[in-house]
Amino acid sequence: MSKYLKDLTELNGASGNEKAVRKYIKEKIENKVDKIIEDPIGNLLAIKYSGNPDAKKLLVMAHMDEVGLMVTSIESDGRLAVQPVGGVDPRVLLGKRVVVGEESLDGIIGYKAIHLQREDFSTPPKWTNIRVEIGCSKKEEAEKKVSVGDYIHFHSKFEEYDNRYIGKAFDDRAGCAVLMELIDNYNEVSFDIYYAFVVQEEVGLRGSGAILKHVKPDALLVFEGTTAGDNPELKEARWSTHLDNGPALSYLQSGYVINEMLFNSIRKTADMNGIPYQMKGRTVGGTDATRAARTYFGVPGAVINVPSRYIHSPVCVISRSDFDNVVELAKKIVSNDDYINALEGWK
Amino acid sequence: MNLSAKEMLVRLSAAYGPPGREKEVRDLIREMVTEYVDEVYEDNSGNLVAVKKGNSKGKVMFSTHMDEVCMLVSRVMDTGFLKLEGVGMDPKLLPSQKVKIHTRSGEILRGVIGMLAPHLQTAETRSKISTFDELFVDVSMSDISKINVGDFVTFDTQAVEIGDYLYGKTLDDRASCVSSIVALKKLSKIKHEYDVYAVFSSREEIGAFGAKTAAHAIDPCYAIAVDVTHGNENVDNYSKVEVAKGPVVTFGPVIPREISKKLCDLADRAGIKIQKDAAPGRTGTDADQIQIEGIAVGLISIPQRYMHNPYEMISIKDVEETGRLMAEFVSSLDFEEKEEN
Repeated sequence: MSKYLKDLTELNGASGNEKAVRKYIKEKIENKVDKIIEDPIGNLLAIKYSGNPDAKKLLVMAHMDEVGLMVTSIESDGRLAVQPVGGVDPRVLLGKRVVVGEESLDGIIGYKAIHLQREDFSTPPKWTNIRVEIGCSKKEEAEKKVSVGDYIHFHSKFEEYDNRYIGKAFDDRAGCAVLMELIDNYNEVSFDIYYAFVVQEEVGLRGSGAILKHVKPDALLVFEGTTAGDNPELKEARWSTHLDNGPALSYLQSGYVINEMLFNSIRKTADMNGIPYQMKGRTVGGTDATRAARTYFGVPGAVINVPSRYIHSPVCVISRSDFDNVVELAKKIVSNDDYINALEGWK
Repeated sequence: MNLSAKEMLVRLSAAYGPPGREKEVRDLIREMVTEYVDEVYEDNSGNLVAVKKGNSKGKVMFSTHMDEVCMLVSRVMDTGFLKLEGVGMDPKLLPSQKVKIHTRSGEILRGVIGMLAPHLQTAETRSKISTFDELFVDVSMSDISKINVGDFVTFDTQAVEIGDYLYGKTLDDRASCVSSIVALKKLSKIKHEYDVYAVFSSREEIGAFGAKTAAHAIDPCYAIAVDVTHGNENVDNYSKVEVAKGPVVTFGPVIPREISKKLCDLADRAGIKIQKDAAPGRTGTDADQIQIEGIAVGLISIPQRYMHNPYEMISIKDVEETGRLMAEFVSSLDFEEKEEN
C-alpha cells in the first residue's frame, strides 16, 4: 500500500484549488529534496541535483488537480446551481454527497423523485437540473454560507481491498503518489531530476506549460491515471486498458505521438526487470506530454498510466498490483540513464 | 433507550430492510419502542406490532412501513460484474454509487456501479441514460463466489443533518416509523381510552400487503397511516407541499372526510401547523390496503424531497409534529367517548 495514496485521494483539489494537495505534498517531501519551488500559478517543483553542472534534466510530472464543480448561482430556493470544472458528466452526480466551499460544508445533489418524472424519466439530467442542497430554503440563508465561484468536490472515502482501491481522483493523485514514492526511493544518478506536481491539467493542460518553460528539461516522463473502460459498457475490442494487466503505456494521445526512443526505453526497462505492462488501446484524452511537445522548443516525453475505471466520477476503481507495478517501473526508469540518454542521436 | 427523533432516524436509515427482509429494522424498532408500550409482537407477515393499552374502549391502529426500495442481483457474470433488477428504483441515480451486496451468509460485500469515463463516451451514449439493461455492478474487489442471483443490493449512504434538514436513505418510510414511536412515547405519559396498535409494516414498496394483513388481524375501529409525500416540487395542478412546513393531511376517496377534517381540527387546536393535500384516487400508501379491509383510515404524510434517492430530504421537526398529531388523534377518541357518555 502506498503511504500516500489514501491521503492524496481524500484531499480535495479541483483545478485552480490545489492548495490542500500542494500543502500535503510539500510537507511530506520538503526535507527529502535539494530545492523546492512553488511558482506563481500554484505548481510545486522539487529538485534533486546530481552535482554535475552540465547534467541533463529529467522532468517527471503528475497533476495535482481533479475534476469538480463550481457554484455559478445561488438560487431563490437556497439551492446552488453549478457548472463543471473539467470533464464531469452530470449523470454521475445524482444522489451524491459533495463538499462545498472553503469551509468544506456538506452538500447533497438530489434528483426529482421517480414518481414525478414524465418524459424526463428516460433522458439524462441537464446541468440546469443539477442543484446542490446545503440545508437552506432561502437565497439569503445560502449566501451566508457560500459564494458564487466556490468550489464543490465529490465526497468519497478511500477503500482498500486485497486487489483493489476504491476512491476519487486517482486521475491524477495516483501519479502524485508515484512521484512521492520516487522521491522516497531516490538513487544517485548522473542527471538532475525535477519532480513537478502541476496544477490545472483538467482545464486544458495549463499548469505544465509554466513548469516546462521554467525547467527546460531534456526529457519528460508523465504519470497519469487513465481510462479503463473494461466493463460491460464496451466490447473487449474497445477497451482502453484492463485492470490487473499492469502499467499502461500510451503510444498516441490527443495532440501528441509519444517519442519513440523514450517509449522503447520504457519497454526495455520493463522487460529487463520482468515488470508487466500493457498498451493503452485508445488514443482519447490528452496529458501534459501534449503541452510539453508544444512548449519551449518542444520537449519529448512519454506517459505511463495507472488504469482506472470510471474516472472523473466520485467512485473510481484501480488495481493494487497495477499501481505497485507503475511505482516499480518508475523507480527503475529514474535509477539509470537509459531513459534520459535514449534521445541521443534522435534529433 | 430514550433517543431523540433524529438519533432514532439516523439509526433506522442505516438499517437493512428491503421488502420481506425487514428483520434488522424490526429488531431496532423493538429496542426503541419497548419501554413505551405494553406488548410487542411480530406477525406472520413480518409486521412488528407494538401495543399500548388504554381502557380497551376500542382499537386504533397506526401503520408506518419499515421496508425500503432496493435492487436484486439478476445475474453474476464471471468477468467480475453483476446485473441488477430494481424495486422502486430510478436507474438514473445509480451510476457512480457504492452499494452493499447482502449475501446468503449474511456477509455484506462491496460493489461499485460504474459509468464509462467521459473520454470513452460517444455523442450517442452521452444522450442516453443507462437502464437496468445496461447498468452493472463492479464486484472485482469482492469474492464473487459468495454472490448469488437473488441477493439484495442497497445503497451505502449515511444519513447527514445539514442546516434545517436531514438527508439519508430510506427516510421513506423510517421517518414515519419514528413519528409512530414519538406518538407512543407521548401516549405512554397520558391516559387514553383506546388501545393503540402501532404497526410497523412490511412490504409497502411492493403493494402494502403488510399493512393489509395487519389491519385484518387487528381489526381496529380507526387507523392512521403515515408515509412520506413529495415536498418542494411543482406538480401541475397540485398545491405545493413544503418540507419543514408541517405534516400533510390527505383528503380523498380512500380517507373518510370526517377523519381528514378531524385531523385538521386537532392540529389547529394543538397548535400544529399542517399542510393539506388532495389524493383524488389511490394514495400509494398503506392507507389504500387498510381501507379495503373495511377500516376508516386517515393519512398523514411527512413532506420529503428526492423520494427514493440515496439521500432523501426531510425535516425532523415535521417528523416530531406528525408524532404529536398521531397522539392527539388517539387522545381525542377518549374525549369524544366521554362527551357521548
